[in-house]
Amino acid sequence: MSDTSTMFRFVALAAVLVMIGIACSNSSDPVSDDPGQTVSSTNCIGCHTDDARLQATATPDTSSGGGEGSGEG
Amino acid sequence: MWEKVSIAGNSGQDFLGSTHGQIGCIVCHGGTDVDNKDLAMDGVIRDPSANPEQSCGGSNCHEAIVAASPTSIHSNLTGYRTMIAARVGHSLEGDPYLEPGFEKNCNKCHTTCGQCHISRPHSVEGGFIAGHRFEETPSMINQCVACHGSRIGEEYRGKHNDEIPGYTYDIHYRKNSVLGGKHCVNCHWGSEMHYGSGEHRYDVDELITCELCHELTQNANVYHATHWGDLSCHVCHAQDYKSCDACHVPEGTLDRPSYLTFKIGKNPLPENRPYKYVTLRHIPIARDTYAGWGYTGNLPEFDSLPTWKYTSPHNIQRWTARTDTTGGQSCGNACHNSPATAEGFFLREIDLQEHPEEIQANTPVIVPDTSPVLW
Repeated sequence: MSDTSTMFRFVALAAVLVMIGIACSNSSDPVSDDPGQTVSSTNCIGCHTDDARLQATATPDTSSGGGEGSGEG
Repeated sequence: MWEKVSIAGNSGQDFLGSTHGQIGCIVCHGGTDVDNKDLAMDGVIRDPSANPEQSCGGSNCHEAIVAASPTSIHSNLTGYRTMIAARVGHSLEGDPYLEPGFEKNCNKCHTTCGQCHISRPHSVEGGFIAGHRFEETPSMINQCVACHGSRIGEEYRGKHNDEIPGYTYDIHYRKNSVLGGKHCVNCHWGSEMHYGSGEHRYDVDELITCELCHELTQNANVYHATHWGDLSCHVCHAQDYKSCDACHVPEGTLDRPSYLTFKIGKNPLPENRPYKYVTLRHIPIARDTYAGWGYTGNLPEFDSLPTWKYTSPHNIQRWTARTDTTGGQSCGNACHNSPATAEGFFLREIDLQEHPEEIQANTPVIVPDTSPVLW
């Protein structure tokens, strides 16, 4: 086997491995199907451990009338 | 209510530090981890365990329990389906009125892993029990009794003492050295909750029986020795319990308020329980119960099942109106001389007069008007 052929095979194999690596790193699904995998929940926990914020978010003050976007202007 | 979804405080910290808390909210609930409520909550799954195969059963966790979930009567309400189908004369599946009605009205009471181990059931508007902490043992008040409250919960905790002087809680409710507590799970184990399947509740193999603990009392006294096996324990040791008449879907309105009864009749489930005589309660079925769903079939097989149904009142006491020996009389006197009237202990022909349309259905479970010693 010539040196040229060996070099060609090496380059081709390297190219395939690079393509596979790129394909895997481009996954756009942020949620894993594997329930055992940890996914960041910083914002979820931040809100659900902050009672003041949770209260304000879950029970917004809707008593104020008029104002922008109310359809009364 | 925001408090229902708060994980602040010590319980929340316990959860976040636990195995389940390390998984990450989004893995189970979906949504997106961004600092904007509407975007974050878009696509959020309220109760992931409603689909246990993809939540609780994932990654080799809880597989056995999840595998049993589809046939657990706590998950699929088989008992209700069985009884409705028996009176209708055909399966609910495919019925244009009963199937959607059942799904909308009845099926909301089926439970999921989360509704027993994390939050209150959806049927009572949910809410974390302890900051999303996964509790191995459900809360009796917030979970078990939240669903099984109007009958079992009230009787177990002796809540009818304003109606009947001396009415008291079930002896098993009192904390004691044998059971170590007063919780439902002392008798209703996880195996029953998770794996209990069958055509109806008494068809569940894992359902406990009194004899499992009390077998050694079989010859404890002459009454036990005489009646053991023939009478269910409740015949002598239950207090009065709740019966209902004619419920109407979808609102669940009753023709009259529920009422307390005590009636002994023939065992309608001899294939499931060995006794000859058991306590019976009147259930809220009527021929037009499902009319509100658009069903006008009038239950053609109505007479195939009694409307006085096998019951196991959860209000056990040693001394009851049946076992009363005040003044030195035999406790047999109370039963053997019980009059053939509406006030008597036994379900007799006179008790069926109030609902003439149900006489045929209940004829198999009534007892003769004569004294039991002559039967």
